[in-house]
Amino acid sequence: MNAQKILSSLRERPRRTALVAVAVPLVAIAAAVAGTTASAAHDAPYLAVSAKAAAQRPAPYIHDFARGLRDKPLKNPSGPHHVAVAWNVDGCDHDYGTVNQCVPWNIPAPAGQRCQWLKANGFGPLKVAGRDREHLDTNRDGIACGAGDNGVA
Amino acid sequence: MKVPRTFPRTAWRQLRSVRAAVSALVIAAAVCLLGGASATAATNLVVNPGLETLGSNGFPTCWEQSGWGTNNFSFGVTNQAHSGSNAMKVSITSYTNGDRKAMMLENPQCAPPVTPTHQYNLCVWYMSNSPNVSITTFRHDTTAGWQYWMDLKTLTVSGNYQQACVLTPQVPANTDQITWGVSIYGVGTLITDDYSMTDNTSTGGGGCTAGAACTQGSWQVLPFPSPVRGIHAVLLYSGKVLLVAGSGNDPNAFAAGSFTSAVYDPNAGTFQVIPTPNDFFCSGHVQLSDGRVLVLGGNLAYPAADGSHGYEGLNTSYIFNPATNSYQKVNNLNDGHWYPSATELGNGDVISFGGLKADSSGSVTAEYFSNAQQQWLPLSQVHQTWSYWGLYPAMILLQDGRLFYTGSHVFGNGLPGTGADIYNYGTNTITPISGLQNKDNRDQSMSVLLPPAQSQKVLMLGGGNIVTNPDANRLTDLIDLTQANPTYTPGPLIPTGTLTGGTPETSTQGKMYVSAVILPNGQVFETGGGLHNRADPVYEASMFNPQTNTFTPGMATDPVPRTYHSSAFLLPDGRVMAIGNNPGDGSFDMRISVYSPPYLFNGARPQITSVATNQWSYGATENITTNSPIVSAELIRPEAVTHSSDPNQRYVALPLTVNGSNIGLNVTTNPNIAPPGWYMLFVTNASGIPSVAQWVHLS
Repeated sequence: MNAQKILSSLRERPRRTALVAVAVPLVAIAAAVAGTTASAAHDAPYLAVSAKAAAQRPAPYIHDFARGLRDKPLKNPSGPHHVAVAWNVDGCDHDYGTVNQCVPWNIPAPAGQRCQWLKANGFGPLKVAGRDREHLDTNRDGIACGAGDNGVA
Repeated sequence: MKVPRTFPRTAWRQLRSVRAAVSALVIAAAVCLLGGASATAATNLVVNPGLETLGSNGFPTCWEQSGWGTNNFSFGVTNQAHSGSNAMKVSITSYTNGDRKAMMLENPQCAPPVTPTHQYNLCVWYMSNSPNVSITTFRHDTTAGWQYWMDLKTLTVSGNYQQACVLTPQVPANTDQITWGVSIYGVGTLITDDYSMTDNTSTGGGGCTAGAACTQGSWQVLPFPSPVRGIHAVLLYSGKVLLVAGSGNDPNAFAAGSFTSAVYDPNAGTFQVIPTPNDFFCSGHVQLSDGRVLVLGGNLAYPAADGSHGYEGLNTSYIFNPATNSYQKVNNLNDGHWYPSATELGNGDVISFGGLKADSSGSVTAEYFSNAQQQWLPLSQVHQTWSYWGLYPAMILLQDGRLFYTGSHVFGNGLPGTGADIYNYGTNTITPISGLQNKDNRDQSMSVLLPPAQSQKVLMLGGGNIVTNPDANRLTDLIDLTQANPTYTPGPLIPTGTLTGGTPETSTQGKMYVSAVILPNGQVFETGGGLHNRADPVYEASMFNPQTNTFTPGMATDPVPRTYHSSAFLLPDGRVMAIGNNPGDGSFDMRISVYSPPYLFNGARPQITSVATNQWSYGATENITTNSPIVSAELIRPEAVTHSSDPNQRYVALPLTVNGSNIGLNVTTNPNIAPPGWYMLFVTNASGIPSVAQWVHLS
């Protein structure tokens, strides 16, 4: 009996409810003394469990998240195909410096300040192994950002 | 025990005619208490907890019938009650997918109110003849509304009533109510009764006397360098760290056939150099379910000086065994892969995408390693979309087994289209995900599955573009993958730092090659990176809080520049180790830095004093003891990181069942949430101070 039911009962039948309210716990105490409980007067709740279910481990509990995607799936290519990737995929211009060095394909400094940027980032004069894309070897002596090149202090 | 709701004051006014009866009732109640019944100390926040009040639909007031999927089911009220007259009964008679659950109504009258940072003890009496039953919670975000929170505990089969209890995690910020119930997601019957929810908030912590370290943490540069270029780092279940260089981005070493690895012992401060059979520079790597490390692909060749070819990918694969500190060859991949991804799936298999082939072109071949067969499957047995995924594509395993390509990659532009996708291996379909900002400037960004993994939220940080080489950006993007149609939304900007010489970054300058490390307190430590490709290191570190989606700026910064070929990762003692820096001038910084987060300065650490077993099972309640109260426990997967990429990094919450000093840790049933393998088990106290980890194996 919950609180609302108790209130309702009290409003309608106060004396009877009071009597019940006193009597029920007294019966319970008597039952406890006798070694039983009030609930023992009824069958204990029980749910049949199969041996198989008792031995089973729980399955992964998976939710229906992200199942309402509004975009349509992409159309897959029909088979393997060639995907060209530039040789300078690492962003380095390997025409400058040693094999270990990486002069950025796009030096993040304005023209005229690129040698300064390279110097600030640890580069010394750089051998030009191929094309001088960045125009760092203005005196064309084969050394970029070397003595005599523009922008070299 | 049923805990009645508080009588409203107006109701008392209506009872003048029955005060005598009430007096008798009070006396009777006192008799009951003297007779042995106990009082409930804490308030039960559940409305209609005993299910005794029924609504006009015949179902308990404040409860609703909920669920989804293809299954035949019924809801009802039964007199098979634990106490009182009513219990709720949910039956599923046939099942394909989904669940059914009786949940508290999501309205202000029925949903229990909660306080952020508090924890609540949820208890329910139940009987179930299905093993597929779980306590499920939802939370009301004051901004975003009602949303799934977490499955907290799997209930064991029981033909008689038994009580299941579990502590919620600390309630996230902006949460004012939660609802919960018991889900059944298989054939069977579930009967529940007598729900309770009590505030279980504890306090802890102590003062901090460590000055700035109390709030910023502190860095230590170790007095000895790494003997190898630590371009790849894998934390082993031994607690040691495998550092892999291969040729170490040094063409001269490559020409000499000089390939190196080393195992670092953080406790002893010693290194063991490992014979390395091939050039694992730019390989992929991931821990297998038994803790060995699968290494795939690598560097077959550096670009030719005349531009006739670029980098070429190896098609070989090896397994590193931490027990013997040696590599063992396995069968070859179907294709060469330079910069491949590697993601462990829920069944322990590994899937890999992308990279460059042996002819320097992009590989469109997906590779699949069978854990059962311990080999890479032949091409005919692997689902192929023949799509090019780029270099080191970040592929994160979702809770249903699909893969989320976050858009994080290395080198050049993002993929065509939206720049992010969900890939379904079963149906072999790729579906675009929209909302990612500036997708072609996310080269060398980092993505992380935010704590806890159950929340299915991903954060993507920073990035640039090595070809156009703009200033790296401050962007972050967040996505909630529990939504039906998830899309990225802009997150907070990465805090600005300083450049070499102390020059402050401008308001638009951010970082690429950033590291994001999940910590045991549930926050993400963001550190390292540079403004440009292999140049202009940024000195900045911050703490990202997944509960508030905010950065705390001003963490202590690594004194060592950490740009290209740097990594940071969590150690079992709760510190963060950072290695590597390979600027464009060709040098390599061999120094090692270790970061101690603020939590290491804020009081005594809790200790895990016993773990009943280190062999854990999905859906189980694993038992531990601790020396002091804790508020959370978590599994953190050891990192395997390179190039700002570790799509397997994750933090799995372990909801607590507390019985005195014995603590039950409730493990997810779902291996897609926690793929099989070795994990670091941390516990954390109310001050957010974690223990040292203990290693446990989940399978």
